[in-house]
Amino acid sequence: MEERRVILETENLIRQYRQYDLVVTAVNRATLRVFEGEFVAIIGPSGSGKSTLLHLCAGLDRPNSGTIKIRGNEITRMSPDELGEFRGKYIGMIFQNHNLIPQFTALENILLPTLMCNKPEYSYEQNLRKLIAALDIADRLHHLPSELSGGQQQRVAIARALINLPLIVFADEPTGNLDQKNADEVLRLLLETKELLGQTLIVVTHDMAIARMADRVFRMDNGIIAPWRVLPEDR
Amino acid sequence: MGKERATVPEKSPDASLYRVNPKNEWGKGLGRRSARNSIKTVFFNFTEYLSFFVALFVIQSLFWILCFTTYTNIVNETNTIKSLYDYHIVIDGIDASERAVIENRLYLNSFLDGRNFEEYRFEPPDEFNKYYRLKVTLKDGATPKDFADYYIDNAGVGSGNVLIQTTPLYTYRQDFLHTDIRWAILLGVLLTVLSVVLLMSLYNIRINHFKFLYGIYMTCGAGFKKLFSSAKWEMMVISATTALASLGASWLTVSLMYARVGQRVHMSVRIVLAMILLNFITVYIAVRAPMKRLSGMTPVSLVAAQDNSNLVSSPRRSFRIFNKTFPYHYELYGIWRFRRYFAATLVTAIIFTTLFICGVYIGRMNKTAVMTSGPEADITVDFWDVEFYGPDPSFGIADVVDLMDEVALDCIESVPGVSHSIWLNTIPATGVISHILMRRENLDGGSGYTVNCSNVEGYPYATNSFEYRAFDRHYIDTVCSLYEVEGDPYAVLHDSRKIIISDSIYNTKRFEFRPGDKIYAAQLLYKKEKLDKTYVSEVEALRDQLLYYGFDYLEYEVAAVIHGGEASGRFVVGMNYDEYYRFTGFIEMNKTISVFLDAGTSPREAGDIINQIKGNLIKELGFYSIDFEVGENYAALHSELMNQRQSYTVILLISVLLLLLSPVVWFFSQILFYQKRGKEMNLLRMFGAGERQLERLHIFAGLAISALAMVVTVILSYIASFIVFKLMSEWLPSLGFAGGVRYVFYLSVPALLVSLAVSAACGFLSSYIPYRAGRGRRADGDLGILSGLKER
Repeated sequence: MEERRVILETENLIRQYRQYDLVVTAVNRATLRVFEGEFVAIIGPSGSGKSTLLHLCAGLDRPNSGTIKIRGNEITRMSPDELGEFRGKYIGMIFQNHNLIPQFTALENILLPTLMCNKPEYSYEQNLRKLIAALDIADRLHHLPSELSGGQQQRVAIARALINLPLIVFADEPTGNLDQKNADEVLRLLLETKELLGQTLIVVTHDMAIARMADRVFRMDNGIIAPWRVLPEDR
Repeated sequence: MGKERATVPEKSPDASLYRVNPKNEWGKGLGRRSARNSIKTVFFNFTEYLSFFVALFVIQSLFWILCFTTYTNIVNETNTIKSLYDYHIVIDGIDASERAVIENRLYLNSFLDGRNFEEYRFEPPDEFNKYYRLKVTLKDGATPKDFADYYIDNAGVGSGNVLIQTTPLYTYRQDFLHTDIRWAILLGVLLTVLSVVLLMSLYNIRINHFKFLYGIYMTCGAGFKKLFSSAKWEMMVISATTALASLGASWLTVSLMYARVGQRVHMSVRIVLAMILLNFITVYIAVRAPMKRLSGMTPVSLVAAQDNSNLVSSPRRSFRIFNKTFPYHYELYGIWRFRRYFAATLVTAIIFTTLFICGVYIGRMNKTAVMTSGPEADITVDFWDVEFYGPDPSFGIADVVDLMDEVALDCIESVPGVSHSIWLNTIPATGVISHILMRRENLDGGSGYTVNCSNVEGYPYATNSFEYRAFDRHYIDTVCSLYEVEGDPYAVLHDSRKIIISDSIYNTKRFEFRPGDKIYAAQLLYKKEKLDKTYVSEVEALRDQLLYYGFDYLEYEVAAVIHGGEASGRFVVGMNYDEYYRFTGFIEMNKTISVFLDAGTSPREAGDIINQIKGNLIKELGFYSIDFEVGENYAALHSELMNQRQSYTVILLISVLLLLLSPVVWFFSQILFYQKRGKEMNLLRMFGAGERQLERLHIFAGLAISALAMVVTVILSYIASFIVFKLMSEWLPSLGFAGGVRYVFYLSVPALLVSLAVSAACGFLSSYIPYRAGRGRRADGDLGILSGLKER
């Protein structure tokens, strides 16, 4: 049997925030291993630290202690510049509220990571065609985010996360702001592109329907992460 | 998928769809940031960068004006000096035989390339000069010493009478040019620092308001290199654009300024290029630091700033007054909620109004310095070898001295244009290893010049930062006519135990003496140990002297106090001639007369006055074979050069330009701030707030910030002006930068009123105008969409 390669590995990850006199531990000694091509869902109540963990793993935030390795590269030891370059090349991030830049068109938003990595146009053109076709946003490319629906905005955000063919895609409640129809659509797209591009997908969600489709599920509670088995009665 | 939209093409979209909109090549610009792409970015988003255009235009104008005026002053001053002197050195006191030897050497060497002179000419004795005078123009790099070594000393003609003097053509470089350049460099450094601070502040404001944008860039892979490269090129493009405009505007302004006094503006291409380079360096430094700081932040913290939370101060951080939290309802007022933001904006903007006030104050100081003649004499007459060869053998040296006392000053003061003259008999306390002891109440901020000493009970402070000076009736008359004198100064003439004392060091009152006060003057008795150290200050030397030397203390009573005389690093302790001679043992009495000319005497008139003084002295004293030398200190020339400079106008111009930066900061910061709060305003509208209510909110914010701006202007202006006062009257003189002028501390009322008006207007209008502008835009919009709550 072929040995699976670990793509993401965290160890004793701690992230604390100081709120006035209070120290809040958002992530408490989180140890996690994700394999290449896996679809991992992280569930848990609001404020349990799911998004913080995702931001840490995606290199968008720094832990107080602990290590994060992506394909053996310890991103916690990287300088801000190295980490920025690493994010641009290997990580795709989908935010819950899309976080599209309002003054840029959909196409400009999608191309942002390629521009940040100084990629020549020919290197992403084919991928862009595939994504636009798959996400069905061809007629919205030159529209501003405010001229797009929530579902369309999320699709643009997905295209932005995938344009650089990242190794690993982090999605923070990707369907949280969408109606059921759009949510199903977005999830289907994520899984399709995951299969198409052979990526690893880590999704933070409240939605048990998504969790059920995941290869593995983790649950976070009060900053502590633990494997979770989704039961049919879980909603 | 997409079937509900008829316009969606079923086939793969056309390739042109993937291209970034060719009309807005923003995308390519970000990808490979270059000057070409930055030009597009900056000019397509002109209004967004308008503040940087204005700020850089003003900054560059400041530099150009400084450059043009400094260079023009140097050229004009050199021309003025060249019109008066065409030689570097003048050698006086050459007799006929010495002239023959020197001229022979000069003639022989005039054929050699390696000679150190360009030209020379001898002037024969005349009614004003008993000897030949040699005037020499030196080659570049040659020194008077080089010339004298070869043509005077080596020629064996350096008799006692030969005297070498340099003219302003030679000393200009040291005396004037260095001062000019030193001030220009100091001002240039200050302006550079200021420019960096301003651009950094503007860039920080921009970063603060665009944190979300930068956060997304960083999420997508941008690091410091990318962010900095982008910012740097944008600023370079703006800088290059404004450089030409500011160059033209500054040239025009400075030309008009100099045209008023009939002068032309001069500039060198090298300096222009150097300034452009300096400007680019300034921009580079100013942009690098904020970008470095930004790239060190985590993207998630930047993205989170989308909701303005980075600008809001939490109620939990509110003030607690008498253990009670600041009333909660005040948190609803924008000015209080965003207090950190407002405080930062306020201080950044007010700094420039403060600098305007300081600039006006410095301008006034400069005017005072130019108008004040200063303590330096215009002409010095030195007497040597007082010997008597007259017809009456009973007429001794003492009689000659008495005769000189009476005649010499009359000879000088009878010349039209002479204001006053005095015998200069003075020696620093350190020169005779002495000090005085004083009481605690005699100190008035002068503790830095004193050392604690217990040698005489009740007189615990010792100082040696003074000089002993001999006073005669004539000197006292002169001092009384020039300065405010308290007490009876003439009492010292017949009472050796009485002294005249001044109270200022570096133009600042340091001591509090009253007539009738007692002081003790120290006279060296013995040395317990020989001190071979080099001291950096007089106080340090005094400390060791008190430890290792023994002194005898003589009590003196203060007869009169000179208030407010221009003072350098020492104050004056004056005695009568007998006491001065006895106390200091200084035998070189009545050797030098300091001559002060009327204000406004031109350099040519000063030259004529010197000749007339020489003529009078030869006529009156030549009979007694008294040798003398009349030396010019070129104070009249200095004064003319100072008047030629447009220093006051330049300082005023720079101040006004600095004031212009205040509105730039106000409007740049506030427009971005209210743009970010647009969503909040629309939410308030959605919840029923009327336009009048919102307008009142903005008017209140505007008025409150205006009032605060005025208060901060007064406070900061007072502090800054006081620092300038200390700098100009104490700190810089102690570093050898300036001195000899007594400045008064005050706040320029007209400048303060202008600053208050600007601060109040900017504070109010920068709050109100963005609201009015936003209201017009909202009129045709859908509140739901604008507030971001409703999807299209």
